[in-house]
Amino acid sequence: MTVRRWGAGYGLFIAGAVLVAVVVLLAVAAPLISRYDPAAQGVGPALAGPSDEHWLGTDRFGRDLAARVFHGGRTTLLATAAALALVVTVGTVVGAVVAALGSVVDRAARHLFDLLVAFPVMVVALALVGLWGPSLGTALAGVLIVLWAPFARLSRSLVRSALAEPSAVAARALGAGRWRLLRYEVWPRLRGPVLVLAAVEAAQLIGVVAGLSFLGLGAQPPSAEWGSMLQEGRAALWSAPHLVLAPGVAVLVTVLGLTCMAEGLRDVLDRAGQAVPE
Amino acid sequence: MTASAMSVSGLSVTYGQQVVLDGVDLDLRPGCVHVVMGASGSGKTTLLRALIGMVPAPGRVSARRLLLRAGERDVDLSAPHSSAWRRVRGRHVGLIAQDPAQALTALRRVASLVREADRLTGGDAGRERVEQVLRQAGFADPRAVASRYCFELSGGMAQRLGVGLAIAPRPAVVLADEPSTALDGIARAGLAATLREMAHTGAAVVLVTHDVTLATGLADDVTVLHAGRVAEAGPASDILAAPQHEATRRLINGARPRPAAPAPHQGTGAGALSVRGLHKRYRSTGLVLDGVDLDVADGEVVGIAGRSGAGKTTLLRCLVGLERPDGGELRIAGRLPAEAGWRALRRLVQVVPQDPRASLNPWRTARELVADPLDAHRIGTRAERRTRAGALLDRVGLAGLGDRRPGQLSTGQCQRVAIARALALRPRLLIADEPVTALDAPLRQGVLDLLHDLVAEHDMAALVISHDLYVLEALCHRIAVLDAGRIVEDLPATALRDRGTHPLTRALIDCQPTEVSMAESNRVHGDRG
Amino acid sequence: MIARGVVTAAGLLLVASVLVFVLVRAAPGDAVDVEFGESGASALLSSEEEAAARAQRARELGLDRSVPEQYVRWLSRVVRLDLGISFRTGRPVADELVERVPASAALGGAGFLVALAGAWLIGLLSARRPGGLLDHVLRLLSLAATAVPTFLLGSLALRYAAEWIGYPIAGEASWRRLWLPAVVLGVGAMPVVARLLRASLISEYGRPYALAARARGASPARVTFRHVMRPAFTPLLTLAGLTLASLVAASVITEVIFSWPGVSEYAVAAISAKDYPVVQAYLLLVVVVVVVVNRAVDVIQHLLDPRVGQAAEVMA
Repeated sequence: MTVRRWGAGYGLFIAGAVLVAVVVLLAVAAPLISRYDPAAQGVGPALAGPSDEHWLGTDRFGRDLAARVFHGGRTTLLATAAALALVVTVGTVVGAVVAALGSVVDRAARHLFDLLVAFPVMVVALALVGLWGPSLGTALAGVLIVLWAPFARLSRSLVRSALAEPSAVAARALGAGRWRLLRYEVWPRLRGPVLVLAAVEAAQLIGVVAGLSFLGLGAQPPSAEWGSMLQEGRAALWSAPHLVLAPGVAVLVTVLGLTCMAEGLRDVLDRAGQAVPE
Repeated sequence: MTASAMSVSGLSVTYGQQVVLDGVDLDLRPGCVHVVMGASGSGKTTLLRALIGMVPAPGRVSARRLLLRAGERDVDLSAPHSSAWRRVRGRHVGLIAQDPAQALTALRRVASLVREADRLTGGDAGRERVEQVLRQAGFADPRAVASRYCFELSGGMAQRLGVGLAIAPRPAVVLADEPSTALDGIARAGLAATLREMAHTGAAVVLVTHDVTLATGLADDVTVLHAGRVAEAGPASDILAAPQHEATRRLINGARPRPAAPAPHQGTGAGALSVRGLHKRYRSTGLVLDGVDLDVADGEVVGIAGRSGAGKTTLLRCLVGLERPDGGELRIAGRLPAEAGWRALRRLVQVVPQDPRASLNPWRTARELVADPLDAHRIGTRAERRTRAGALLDRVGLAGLGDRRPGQLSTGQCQRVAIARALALRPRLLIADEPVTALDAPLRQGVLDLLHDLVAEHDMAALVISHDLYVLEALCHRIAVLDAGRIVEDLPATALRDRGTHPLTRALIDCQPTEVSMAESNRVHGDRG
Repeated sequence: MIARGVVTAAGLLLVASVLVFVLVRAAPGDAVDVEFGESGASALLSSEEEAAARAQRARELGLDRSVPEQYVRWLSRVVRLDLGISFRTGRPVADELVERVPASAALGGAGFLVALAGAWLIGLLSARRPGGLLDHVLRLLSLAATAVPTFLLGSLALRYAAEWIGYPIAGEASWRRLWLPAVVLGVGAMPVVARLLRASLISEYGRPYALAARARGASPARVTFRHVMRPAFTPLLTLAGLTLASLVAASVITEVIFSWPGVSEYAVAAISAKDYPVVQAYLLLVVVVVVVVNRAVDVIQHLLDPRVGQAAEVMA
């Protein structure tokens, strides 16, 4: 029975996790596996296509694209991970606290969460960049301003429903204190859905940051970062599409991995009869 | 000799490895009511779905023979996924849903649904026909109803329409799913009359139920299912009067009252619990508790009877401090919560909650769950708590199951875990909320006996809350009847039937025996879905 | 009902306006810095003169008043659609934005329709046999569609459409140019809608009324289109509000790639040129659209499913 519950969803989750793990591994091992310095110009002919010498070809300045993609992952992934850790923690805690406080605070907060959740992350990041000037940090800050809200909303509703579960009510009646309720009743019901949402939002974060950089409003050249590489590649879209393709596919694979993780986990939770975030 | 309306042999349904129905034979005679009985999980709902060719997706159906009388000829439906089903469904086999009111597409108008059903079963769907169907369904003014949206109908009207749509084409076979507890007594009686009438006009009626009373009143033939097989089948008079198979006996006995209630308790006063003038009002539903007075002496077992909505659950929540009463006084072991604090008082009052499965944390083992109150109140060392939990599990008959989680236990076993957990602190007062409602009839007696013995062993007071008088009579010295937030009757259990005068008391006595619990019928559907 | 929607929308807009004001105020450099820095006026003045002029201008702009007071003045200007003058073009920002709204609305609307149509098809096909082969294939396709970044899909689509079928890469907003960005937008929003529709259809198929319709002899197609479709679509509307967010986000990228003369393209150009009034106006515009659409969806939902409306009336 339990084995069947972990059916297709579990496989999808593992597949996604493997994809993400590969991307992370390539980024971590970038200095070891790259044959060239990502910043060194003229290591090959300018704008050359993929070859034995340069697996993914070279860019306008004759830099090795493969080395730049591997190294670029380091910045992108690290920034994403840090930002994500921040929004997950802040959002979940805020949501839980609001749910625990209840009454007026709770209702007001709900409206605020709804508003922020409905708001396009991209636009806020865009506005922030417009006001502060383009940089990876500003773009990330713009994302962070809104991205905690989905977690707060999710955790608020989960904490509320978990506390209303018969098992939580029974535990209270038996004399369980606040921490026991949090530990045994709330946390197990919270962790799965939050993980799903984290994977979904991580994918979104990477997409938005890369998109902003693509527009020239995120990470700035000449740093080796997927977004800034995209921006450089955009200028050469007509003559050398592989400049966009290489970092673009890197983003795609990462996002695909995260999406598969979210989807698989969602299946697993669904079958276990737990709440599933959108 | 009349030909069968439907004749089935060797009918099996499997879901992967799981065999739900195994070689069922059934012969439906025109003009007869055929009752299929069985405990939940016996496969009776699946049988019903197989008889109309609607077994849900992964299920595989096979049959040696499945013949349906369609007009003048017999249709062979034994081929799996037979496309012939669609041509006979509705016209020759009709299905009355568990809750007929739910069988309507809410966002469509009545006339549109009637027209559709008529056209699908070969009618002309004209205006006269629509009015005729509605009139037959019991609507005095068909035109007024026809233009309404289905969601605008009252519960009773929707039910009549749902039944009416199913039987309007005069199918040769009418299948009726266990009338759900969503129907009150009158609606159930109405449904029974309709089924009887259908049989009179020559249809073969199949009714699936585990309600013995309903079966006794209606059945010509009875088939008892047990674990997907036919346990026994034959004329109703034989089977119900002299059951041969163990499963049948358990179904019938489970519905019978336990004869003698315990004699009145000797002790008096309010040793364990004293409630005076308890009030509770909700903004949404108004006054729920309207001055409840109640005493429970040490060692005494008191029952609270009442319908749903009488305030039983609210009273319980107030008694364990989950709800703050708006007025009145509550003393537990002589102490006021405001002075002693709920944390201390919860060591004295423990609860066996209503839905055993939902009230156990699914991530923890039985042993952890039983030790939980000891952990929460930090009683003894860790090892002592484990030992005590193990001993309690042994005592409630779950020896060796301590490492299982609720998902790996049956509902009855879950209830035993919940009982063991409530005893862990050796409370002075045990409150049991509908202790057997979620359980199948055959399991109930065991749990009632266990509760009875445990209360006596531990010499604690107990408060049993139930809508079922038989449960209370099996356990309690004294029974109080709660109605609209007040105690309207308070008598020794032995005297209730004779001396109870309040109308509600009489109603509770009369409308026995056991109802099918809502939780149970939901569970059956949940498992299949 | 509609009145209540308007009131809630107004309340939310007020809250949002505070957030925008805080964001704009918190930006480095106040309005005076911006004006003096950007217009190059300071080059003509001595430092004392500049300081005096700055103070003068700050008074004019009300920057010497308390923050709440400033907010009220700012809001009153915003409400009167006085959004300032664009540094780049010297024209009122409101006028420039309004000119570009139709193009953006057309693209967003077309994208939404593409998403809805695709999702409808995917939802119907995959709900027919949940767990079947088609269901799995469509699901994998949806996953892939979710994962493809808009900029990658957009740039490649543009490049190869131009090369192979002569898609016009630049020019006015026209139908001939609309379809490709609309598809790019729609594909991104499609999977989420499809998933919800699939789940909603499957759950409706299992409801007693759908079973009863089948038992009365209705064919699968009839059950789908005459019984299940409408209730299954109702929850979709809630999502329409959320889809809007992803559509707006994706349209930023799409408009730029396809040089579509919409609001977002204008805003991105303004950001690169540090045209602050435009940035602020753009943010405000999106806030208004998001709030209004979400509220409207709420109201429409009530109209579409009268049960919800009745329940609300009973409560009131």
